[in-house]
Amino acid sequence: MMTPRQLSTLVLVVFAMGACKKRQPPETPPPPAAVTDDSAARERARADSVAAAEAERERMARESAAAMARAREMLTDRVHFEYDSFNLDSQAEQRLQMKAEILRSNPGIQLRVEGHADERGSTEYNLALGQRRAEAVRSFLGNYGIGTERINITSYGEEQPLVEGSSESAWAQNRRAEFTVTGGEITNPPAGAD
Amino acid sequence: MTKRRRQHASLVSRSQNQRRAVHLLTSLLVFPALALLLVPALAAAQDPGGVRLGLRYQAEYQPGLVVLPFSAAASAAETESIRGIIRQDLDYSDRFSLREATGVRSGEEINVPLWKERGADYVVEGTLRPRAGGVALELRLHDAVYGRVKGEGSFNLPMPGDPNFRMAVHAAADELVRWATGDPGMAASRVAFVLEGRGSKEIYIADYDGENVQRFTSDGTTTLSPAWSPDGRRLAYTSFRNGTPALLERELGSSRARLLSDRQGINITPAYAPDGQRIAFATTYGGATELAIYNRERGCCLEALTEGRRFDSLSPAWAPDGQRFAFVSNRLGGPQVYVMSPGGSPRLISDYVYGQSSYNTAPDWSPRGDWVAYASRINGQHQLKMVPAAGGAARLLTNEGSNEDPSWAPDGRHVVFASTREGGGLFVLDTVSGRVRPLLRGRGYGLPAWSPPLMKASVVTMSGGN
Repeated sequence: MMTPRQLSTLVLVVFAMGACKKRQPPETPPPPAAVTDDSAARERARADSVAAAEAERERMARESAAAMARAREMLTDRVHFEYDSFNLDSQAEQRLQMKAEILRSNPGIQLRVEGHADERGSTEYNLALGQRRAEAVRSFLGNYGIGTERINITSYGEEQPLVEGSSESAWAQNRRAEFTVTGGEITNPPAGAD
Repeated sequence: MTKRRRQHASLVSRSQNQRRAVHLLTSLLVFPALALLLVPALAAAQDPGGVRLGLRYQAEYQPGLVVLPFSAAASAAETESIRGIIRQDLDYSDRFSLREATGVRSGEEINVPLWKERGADYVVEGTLRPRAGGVALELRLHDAVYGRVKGEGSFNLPMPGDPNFRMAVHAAADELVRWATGDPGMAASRVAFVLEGRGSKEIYIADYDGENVQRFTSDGTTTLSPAWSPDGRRLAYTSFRNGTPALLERELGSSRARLLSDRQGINITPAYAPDGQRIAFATTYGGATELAIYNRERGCCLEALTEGRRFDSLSPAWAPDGQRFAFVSNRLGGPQVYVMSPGGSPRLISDYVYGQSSYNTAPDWSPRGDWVAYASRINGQHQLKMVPAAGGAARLLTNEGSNEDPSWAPDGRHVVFASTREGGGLFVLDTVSGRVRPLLRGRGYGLPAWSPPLMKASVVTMSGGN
């Protein structure tokens, strides 16, 4: 499902976020009220539980960061098309359904969708084709209840290939819709996104 | 998937053409004289792609023509450079078979009958005289067959080195073509095109002979589809400089572009109507790409030309009468070329075989009104075709490499196009003789647009002509 590049980006993001959390200063425990015999033991137990809570908080933060990152990945996952077509195949529909779910639970998010074509055919016709692809994506999301005002679309035709080259594989990768988050934050990653 | 299979089926049927080509080769061996007339067909048979496409070009008789050395008070180098430009223009016109003026010194008495014997039906005689602010070029065209002067005139040229110098000489050459044939020439014109650089595409303009290449846009972004205004003073084009494809217009001498349309979606493929005020272009309406007209005069007023709804319409090309236009629409599945009048209904003119996928794009209407050239996908590559605007059988024009985006010269006979042949570049094809010459070579050239005539010869005195 994910390309190795996407996967490594994800791992990096998760890692970086975990690292950030660790650098935050730990909460200082309140000073002990009285020093008694077993106060040392109690203090140890308390410190342990503080540490455990701290670890739990860190774990939750890491998991939530991972979930956010994963949601973001899902939101910006590319969708691919057949030659000279703007039909959405089952894989594309699946990806768009996931996007729709994220968009629904994060109503602040705004998306930009770019339609792209492979290098074959007329430069000018490919601009219209790219627009059709972006439009197909927007209207699919619209059918899943996402207001079209949240989705800005445009076409690059064959002008911005993802991969250079004139092979079937390069063409297949270049026939795509690209997604960019242009506004809002993911605050509510869907369940199962982590 | 079905598309690919269909294409495969059409490949099989083309093997008949291969057999025909082999048969043609055999007959060429039998009739060597035929071979000379069918050189383009032979080239077709040598197509390395393995699939033979037949090209049929007229075996036109080209009258012989000699340009004699000019007599001049000016420097020899200057004189020779002017004669060289004129000679090349006449050669590029593809209407004459040029003869060498060997064994002639300038200033000698002209012996027209002798030149007739040496194969020249036309003899061009020239004299250069100094004048205030430039030179006067006197040209005389002798018709050696009838033994009379077919045309003569004196042309005011600016000083050599003046930016308009070459164009003024081209205009004089166009006048020679008109004297000889009665038809317009194409030398006093330029070609705008797109050149891909590192991460951007900019518009450039070159003289019709590839000289004087100048950069027109410097937006550092993707710039596409230059279109000439009928007076040759402006270009309309598409630019991504604000992130999405918008329609701009700019005077040739100016550095400031004017925004014509940046409607949401795309704003592409402009074409000036012959009145110079209405610009047809393609833009997004209700999710589809439709043709609309922008009115320059009023600076506004989008007027929809097509209502394809579920289909796309783009790449308009006006007929010279401004009453009709050709355009691309995919209402039959793949893109096809149609002709319609504003308010009328579209009529298919490109080749279409029921049930077969086809891909025909980039129409351009000949300035002489009778033909529409376009690019057609054949075996995964694009080839140029021309079809009568009134409908009828399309003629295949190219079969070497992939060839796209034809644009007619002002003479209505040549087209410039982008090709992958010979390492790629822009090429000029004579649709009558089939002769092809490179205009600019290299990778990344595309979307050429031939200008209207840019300079009328400034003739002081003139006689003859048709």
